[in-house]
Amino acid sequence: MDLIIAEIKRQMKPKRVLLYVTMSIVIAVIWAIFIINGRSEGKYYKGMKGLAAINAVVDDRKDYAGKMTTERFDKSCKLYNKSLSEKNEVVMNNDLLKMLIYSDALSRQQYLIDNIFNRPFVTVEKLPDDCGRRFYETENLYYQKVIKDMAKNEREKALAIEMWDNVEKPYTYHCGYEVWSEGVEHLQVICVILIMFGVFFTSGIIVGDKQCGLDEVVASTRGGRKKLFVSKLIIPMFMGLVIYLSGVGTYISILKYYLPSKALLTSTQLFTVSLLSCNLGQIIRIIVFQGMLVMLMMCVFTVLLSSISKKTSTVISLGMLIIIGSFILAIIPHINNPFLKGISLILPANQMFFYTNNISFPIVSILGRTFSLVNVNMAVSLVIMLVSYSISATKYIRR
Amino acid sequence: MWYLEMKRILHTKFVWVTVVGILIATLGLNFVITRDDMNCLSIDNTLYEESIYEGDVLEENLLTSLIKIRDEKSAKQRYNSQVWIINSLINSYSGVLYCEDDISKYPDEYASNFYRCWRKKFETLIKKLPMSKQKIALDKLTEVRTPFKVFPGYYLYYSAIGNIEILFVLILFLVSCFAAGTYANSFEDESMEIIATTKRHKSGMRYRVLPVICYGILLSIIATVGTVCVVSSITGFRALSSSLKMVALFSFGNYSIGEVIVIMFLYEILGICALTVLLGYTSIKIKSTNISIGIGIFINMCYIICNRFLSTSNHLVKAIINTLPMATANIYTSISGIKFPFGIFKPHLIAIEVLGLFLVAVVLLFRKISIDYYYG
Repeated sequence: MDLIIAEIKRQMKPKRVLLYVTMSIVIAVIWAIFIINGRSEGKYYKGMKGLAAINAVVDDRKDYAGKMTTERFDKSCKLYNKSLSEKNEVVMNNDLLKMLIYSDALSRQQYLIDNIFNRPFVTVEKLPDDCGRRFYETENLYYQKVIKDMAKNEREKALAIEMWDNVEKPYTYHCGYEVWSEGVEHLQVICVILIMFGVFFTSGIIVGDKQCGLDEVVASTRGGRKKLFVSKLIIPMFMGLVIYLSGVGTYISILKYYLPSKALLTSTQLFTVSLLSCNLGQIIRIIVFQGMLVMLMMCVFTVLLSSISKKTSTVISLGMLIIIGSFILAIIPHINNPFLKGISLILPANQMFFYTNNISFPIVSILGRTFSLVNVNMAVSLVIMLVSYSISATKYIRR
Repeated sequence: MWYLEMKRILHTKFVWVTVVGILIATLGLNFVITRDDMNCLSIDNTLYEESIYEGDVLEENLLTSLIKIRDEKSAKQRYNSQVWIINSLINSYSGVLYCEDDISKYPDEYASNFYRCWRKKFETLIKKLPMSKQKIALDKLTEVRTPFKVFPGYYLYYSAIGNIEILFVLILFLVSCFAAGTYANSFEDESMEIIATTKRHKSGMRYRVLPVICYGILLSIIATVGTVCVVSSITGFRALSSSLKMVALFSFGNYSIGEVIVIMFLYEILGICALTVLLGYTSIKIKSTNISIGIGIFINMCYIICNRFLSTSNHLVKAIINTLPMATANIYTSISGIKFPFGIFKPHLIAIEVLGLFLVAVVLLFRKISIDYYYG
């Protein structure tokens, strides 16, 4: 125990810890303010920005929050078509403004379905009269096509159809979800930056000793390295957690304070194409949990790198390159290359980008069996963590 | 001295590992794209069939091919390759103007008046741009020469150029990791004090950025030449002279694919120079390798994050972001489409801005060296 405390004293000097924590908090605060203040609600709320616009929207639309039944869709469809002027432009009125989400969902659906069947689309056009009544049928048609396009074999198809059947219909909707869904995508980038901080902190944990010659001293004491390894492993993980929780915690609590929290009950299918049967809040929970796992994994992985290499800068470069590699893989649209897909599955830190990469079709086949990608990602991060733990332990203790 | 400096900096494990890594990545990425096609068709046969219609893309050839495929249900590859060109007229920026989803519905006009249809769609796309830019775009459109040229195997470059782009981004990150230690390493092992007492140390210090630039150029040569060689080993070098229009139908200028790859390469080198000197300056200023690596990665990530997540119309912000060296790796996006990142219309603006950054960094670095190490 004394050894651990001594090591903590050495590695986690208050100034250093404070620097990392403040940096992550500052980034989170800036990002959250940026998202909330940058929000504008389109041409019907001109002159309003940030919180004012969000609140105005919530006030206008709260009457129709809740289940999105077909009757409401039908009503909004009629309202929308009635409000079209001769030049096919929308003339806004109060009733339509209240139901704007519904007519938006209808136009979005029309757009998606035209796109996937390669039909022409025009931005403002009369909606088909029965499209409100047939909203869920059309939705079904669309997802069948998506599944048919994306599934590689019969088993994937069966699992995908099962997932789609589990999705709760009719969808739920609560005001203010737009800002939240924007925040989800940014949440991933924040997590990546925090993970970089974690790697930066961890990089010197073993190499630093070697560079200043302390390693020789430790090796010459009885049982020195064996006892020390526990603290070498625990400190980065603990510090990683502190950095991660302070950053993500600040970000989410700021969003939660300012934005309507009921919006988290909104169905995922309303803002993105997805087969997952969970609502916005659950998606955020998945991403946060995944990020935490990846953070711990990267910390252990960096300990491994640190025990192998001879210089701190090499460890930082390698760790950063791995994170950046997965970041680049994540932001290239549609990878069709099976080689790249395989790499992106096992590359440490790529599990972070679950939302951008695979939300539309979260299913993967490995060795003839089909899994949900959420579970695969978790398993992969745990396996990498265990493997790098065991390698670094043998490397560090038996030298 | 120059030779010694090169040897000291470049003859390290990090350099060899990264060079081999980039080589493997290049070969791996490109062998996959060349192998993919073999699954369905014998590639030699395909190339032979395509070579019948090589050279200019002529409207009568397009028409005969369309008739053969659509009406006579011929499955010959030679006709298919021509119909692909008509396909790309409809599928790139799909949903605008031409929207047939099946070949049986294609009218003759698409083939017999291919260039007129292409121009019409291009003009429609230009009308979606902001008003101020439409006129320049239309002017540029009139400069495009028709007919386009096509040589067998050009379609492999569609993926190959993407591969080069990914590799270039990675190379810039590698260079920033490597350049961060240029001066800081010597401060950390305290050899700087000894160096400062030697004769001609100042010119020696200035030389130090050159090996890093050489390293970057070496990596980019590996990525570019490796890609071109792997693809050319199958298609032959002639595919390089087909028009860029065959890969990105709605792009300005009269570049061929080979020229575009050369342009990308040159821009990348410019980016490498700017990044190296900039990080050399931070390295000599901060005297810590780790922090300069952090700064380098921050600069690069800044561009990537802003490019992807920030959509602004502020000209100053755009100019600042396009000054970052990472913008050079993204140049293909500006050349190939009308969806410009940050609304930059002329790719050469990026070159000018990055060149400006390079010059500023050179001045800063040399000034720092001559002020701090003036021992007589």
